[in-house]
Amino acid sequence: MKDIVIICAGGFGVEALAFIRSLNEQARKEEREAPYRVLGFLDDNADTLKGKNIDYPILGSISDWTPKGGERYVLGASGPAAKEKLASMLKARGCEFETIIAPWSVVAPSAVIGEGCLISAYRIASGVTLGRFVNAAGSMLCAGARIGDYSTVTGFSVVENAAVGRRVFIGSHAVVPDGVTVGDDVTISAGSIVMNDLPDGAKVFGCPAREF
Amino acid sequence: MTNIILVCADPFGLQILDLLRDVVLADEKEGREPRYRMCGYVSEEPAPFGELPCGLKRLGSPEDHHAPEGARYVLGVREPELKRRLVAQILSRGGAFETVISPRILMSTGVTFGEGAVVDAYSITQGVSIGAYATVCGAMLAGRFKVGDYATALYFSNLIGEELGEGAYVGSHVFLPHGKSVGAFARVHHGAIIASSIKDGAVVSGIPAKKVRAGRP
Repeated sequence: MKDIVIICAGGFGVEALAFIRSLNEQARKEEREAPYRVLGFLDDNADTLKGKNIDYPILGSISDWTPKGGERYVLGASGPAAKEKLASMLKARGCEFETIIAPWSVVAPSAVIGEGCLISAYRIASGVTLGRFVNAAGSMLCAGARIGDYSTVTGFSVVENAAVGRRVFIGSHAVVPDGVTVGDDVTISAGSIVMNDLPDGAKVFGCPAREF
Repeated sequence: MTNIILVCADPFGLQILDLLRDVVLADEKEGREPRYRMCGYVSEEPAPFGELPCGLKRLGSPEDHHAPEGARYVLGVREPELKRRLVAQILSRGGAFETVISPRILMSTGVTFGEGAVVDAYSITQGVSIGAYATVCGAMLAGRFKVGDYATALYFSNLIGEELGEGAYVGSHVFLPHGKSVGAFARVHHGAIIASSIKDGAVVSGIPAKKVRAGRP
């Protein structure tokens, strides 16, 4: 059993808690030992969980935290820039990160998934490669999709056999089709249908997706 | 247990391989004999998956390969014209196609499937009919919807209209409302919302869907 500390008690942090509890629940049903024990959250705002009815404590602030040794960390942030900042800062202090895959995600055994990812995707096909600290929620990642470090892919989006860079945000219902290359630090807004390669830093919207 | 040969042309074939593994896993979980055993794949190109790992042996081209006695074929192809050509080649060799349905699909009774159809989730309600060699992956089909032979519909599309014609191709996130149809061998790009029925052979894109020059959806 691994001790887990979740970084950020906001939306994705609470989601991460739900995935971990579901994995424990599944293990209990299959009469296996629960894989995780959640110790609590780290958040710079001590009141983040107020009124959310979550029975885990905020153990301290991210900025002042020193690892105790032995525990593993789950990154519950979704903004790509924030993920990179938090992961670099905490790794420099010696924190080790766990990848969490929700039990309802269908992930092909040959998919390559980096450290610190948070996965609740609808499907991750064979031949998919995810970098480090990628979040994939409720999306379809098709065979050959490559997603760079710190990127976030949200609900009902589809990435076909395409290359997506680092720190890219893909909004809900967006589609990145076959053969497209998306640069680093790109924001693809909800519902966008990407038709062409996107340069570093592009912010696009619409069908077909255009820069704004 | 049936020996299966996957017919493929590009990495999409790997997704159908995932589907076949999913069917076998579901059988094993429920204590049934696994219904499929993978023999390998056939493709026109020598390396249809590029660098991607596959774990299956290439048996040869669809026209020239050795198939074990009793083996059946599964279509791991989404391009309608290509499906028609490959199916013709394999049928002419005396091959037969297996119909594959995802164990994860949300489906009511009374749905009909043609030979060689490949249907991965999402959901299909009563009264829908799926044609032979159709490929439906992650779409929602409802009402009395009819999917034509060789047609393809992809992820998160919501198809509640009348019909996809023979060989129609519908990308991801397409909405086809009540009373509307897509003509034979028409192509609908990702994200299109169809406001009026699409003629045979037309290529459409956008909201509302309008004719565009030919290109991959």
